[in-house]
Amino acid sequence: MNYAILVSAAPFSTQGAHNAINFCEAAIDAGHRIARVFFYQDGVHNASALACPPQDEPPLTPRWQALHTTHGTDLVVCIAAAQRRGLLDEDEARRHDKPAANLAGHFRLSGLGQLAEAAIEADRVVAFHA
Amino acid sequence: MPERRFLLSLSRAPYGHLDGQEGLDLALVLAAFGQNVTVALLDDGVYHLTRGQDSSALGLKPYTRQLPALGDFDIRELIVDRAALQARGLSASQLQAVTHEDDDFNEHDSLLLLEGAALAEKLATFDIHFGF
Repeated sequence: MNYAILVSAAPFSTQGAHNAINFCEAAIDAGHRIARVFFYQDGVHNASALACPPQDEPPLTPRWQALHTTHGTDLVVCIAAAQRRGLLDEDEARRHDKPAANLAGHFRLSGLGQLAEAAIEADRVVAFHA
Repeated sequence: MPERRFLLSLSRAPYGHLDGQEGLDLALVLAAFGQNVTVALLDDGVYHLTRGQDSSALGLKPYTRQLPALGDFDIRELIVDRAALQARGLSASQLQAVTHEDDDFNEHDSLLLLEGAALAEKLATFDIHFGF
């Protein structure tokens, strides 16, 4: 089955983001496809290149990136939600005249239309909230 | 592929959380993609539609003004949990009017006040539910 995933939970603040990545990895192991994960609301913080959790709290970002590099999952971060919360790629940082970019590799910024499209095309939509 | 029916539910009061604003944004985008979209106000979400709101003192955008305009985006149904209204001492007369035009440009009321089993039954008819 082809799943579209919505992640609205920030990493660590709640269990939501852990549940989301655990679900995605388990679904792929079971032979399903995760075409796209859409990060919205506080979920955009999962795409930060600057998160440094303590050593005994394994980071989630590399696990998301592995979904993209190993399984081709499209990791899309809502651009409006990201800008509001200070998460920018190089282009946006330049465009808004900000001193740095902090979007992690293998994630991309785009609009809510990417979530709409994924929800229309997927067999199932699963949302992970805070 | 058959058209999907989307339900966007707002369950938190406006302004205290951004959920309502970001949920409505998704509703409008889904409608712009030609999808069949219904919005439901549940729990504290019913405060979205109360009359006389002024968010200026909070320094927050009065985004709830989008609700009476949902019809312009071809969102023709706005469900309100009547029991949630009553539990908060509100009545339907304190809600803003929300209307839409049908394909022949006749105006209709978009509000659908439901509660209990009838509400649950209605909410179960949608293909995809995004809760905010």
